[in-house]
Amino acid sequence: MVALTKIKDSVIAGEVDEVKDLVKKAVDEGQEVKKILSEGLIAGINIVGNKYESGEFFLPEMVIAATAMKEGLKILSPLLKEGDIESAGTVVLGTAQGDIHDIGKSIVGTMLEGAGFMVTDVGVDVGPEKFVAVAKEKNADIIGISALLTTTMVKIEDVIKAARGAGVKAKVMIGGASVTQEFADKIGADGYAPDAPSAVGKARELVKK
Amino acid sequence: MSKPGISFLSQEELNDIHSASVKILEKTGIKVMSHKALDILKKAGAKVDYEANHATIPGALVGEALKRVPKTITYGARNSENDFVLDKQTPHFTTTGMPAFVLDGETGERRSSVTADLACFTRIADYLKNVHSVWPMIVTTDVPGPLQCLMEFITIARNTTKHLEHEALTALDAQYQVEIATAIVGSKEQLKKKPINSAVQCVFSPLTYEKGLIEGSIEYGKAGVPVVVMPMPLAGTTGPVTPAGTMALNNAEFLGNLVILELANPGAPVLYSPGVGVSNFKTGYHRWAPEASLMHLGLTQLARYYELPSEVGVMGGGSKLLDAQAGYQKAISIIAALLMTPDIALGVGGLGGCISAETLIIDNEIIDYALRYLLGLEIDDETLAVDVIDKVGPGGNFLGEKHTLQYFREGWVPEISDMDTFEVWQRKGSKAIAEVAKEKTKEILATHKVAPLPEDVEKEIARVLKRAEAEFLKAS
Repeated sequence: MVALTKIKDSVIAGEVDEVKDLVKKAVDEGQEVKKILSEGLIAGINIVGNKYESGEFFLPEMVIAATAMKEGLKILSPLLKEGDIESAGTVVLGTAQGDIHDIGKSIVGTMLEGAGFMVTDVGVDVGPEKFVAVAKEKNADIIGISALLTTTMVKIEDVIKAARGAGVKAKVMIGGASVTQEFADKIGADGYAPDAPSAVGKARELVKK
Repeated sequence: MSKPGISFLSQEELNDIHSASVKILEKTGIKVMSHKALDILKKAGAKVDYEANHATIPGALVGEALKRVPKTITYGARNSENDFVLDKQTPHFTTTGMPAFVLDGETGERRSSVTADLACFTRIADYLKNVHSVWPMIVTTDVPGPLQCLMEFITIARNTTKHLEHEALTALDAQYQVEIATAIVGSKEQLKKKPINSAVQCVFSPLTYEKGLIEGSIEYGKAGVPVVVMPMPLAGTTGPVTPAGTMALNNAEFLGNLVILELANPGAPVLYSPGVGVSNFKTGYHRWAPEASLMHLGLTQLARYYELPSEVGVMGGGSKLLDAQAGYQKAISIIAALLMTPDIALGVGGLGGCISAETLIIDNEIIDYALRYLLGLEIDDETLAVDVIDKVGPGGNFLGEKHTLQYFREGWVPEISDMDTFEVWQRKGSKAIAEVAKEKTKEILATHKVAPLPEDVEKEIARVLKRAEAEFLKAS
């Protein structure tokens, strides 16, 4: 029988193929899917998150570990029942309309995954309707919007208006080089974070409310 | 004069970077988000996929583009005394570009930048000896988004008679700027002959040309306005973690862009401008590090190998305050960077993500020191002064010598840096350099006047603004 700690260790080491093989094997062996998830994948990514906080791990380790975890999750997802995934929250992420800059948003996504959130990244140049549609589909707790340019950050307000108008319950969190707390307050965003590590803390705070 | 020099990459290494870049263009290719640009590439024989917005570019096209691009450019200015030539002999300086925040000298507060700030900073830049070109040092966040670009250009045009550098987010932005510049110089031909404006075009790393930006550059090229192509990969996040890889990537992004611009407008003036950096692996932000300066140095050398005019950042850093960190970060790499002689050295006035008027003054002094350093020393019979030494003799002094009188004024003297003894400095108020710089900015703003634009130009500006506003209202 595949030891679930081995899956956990492979996630921490970012061994993508190893995680896929072990998860598949564990499933074939008839092990409880919910346990494979929590004691293998989630346990692994939680340790990665802790190692990042303590300064042992950096972004490259986080990204590779998150990739490994997501590959394992792909195998388990069809087998999981609703409520089996105990995540920290569901987040929909995207870059504002007219803006194609995405590296910051992608790093936020990785760090949120590292902290146990389920993240759907809708990409760049995302219009308000798409943000709202995906947030509804995923029953999102948070919509995260990024904008680099001063000319595109003005579009963030459109998303907030569209989301409120459609009765979407998700909190809106924003960031980007030109975005500030002042701007976030002005347009009625629920949260702002100046960098990816702070975004995790802010997301945790927002899901509690 | 014997000038200090610098050597860095070998010819073989320069060739290796070039070959790697060509391989990237031929194999990995570029995402080109403009069908207009894809058409241009397809017509020239590149392999193009319109659905994926992708093209691979054959090495032969790179070779042709490098042959077509002008090797020197004459930059014009509203006041022709401010014209200068980009001929790889002397660096000229431009202000840092486009942060959205100001470090307010009065309140010490970091706040969003507005049009009035840009007007003041431009006037200071107009005054300073070591600034030759003005790139809007801040974004006019008090102006509606689509009009910001245009308003920034108009503001700098009104507040300096030096060369103007800006950028376009769309072809229309470029067109409006060309129209205003044409009104200032009098005709399209004159603008082409001696452009009073140039424009930065960033590349989105890795390997992506954004639609508005590349179409803006094509528009500039039609008018003969030089385009400063500036890829900005960050080693480890948007470029390979190993610096050489990010250099090869940056170079590939430049070359592919050059191919498009030279096919669109053969002979269009283009500057080589690396914007590389290295990543902070804790946050994904960028970090100040020697590797970033070294990459810039190597790419400046590569630009010279290509015989291209270049624009390179020389004064970057991460400090948000005008403090010791800002000072040492700016000073530490400027001399090496300038020894490689980029045509335009970029970064005057910048702090971490913002700008301050005081920093403009201080950077002007740092540059002045560096420029004197670059000139080197004269070693000959006159300067060896063996006769004078003999005359003065052991234990004598040189102050009263005719030789001293003849040459002492050639020695470099700082404009604002403190040179006094402790007691005298104390008597003068024990001022820190930031305070001295602040007093200087007040003095400049109170006394330095810039000639307003002629009435006919202001009329043209009004016409352009009206059309721009209509365009903006139409879009919203």
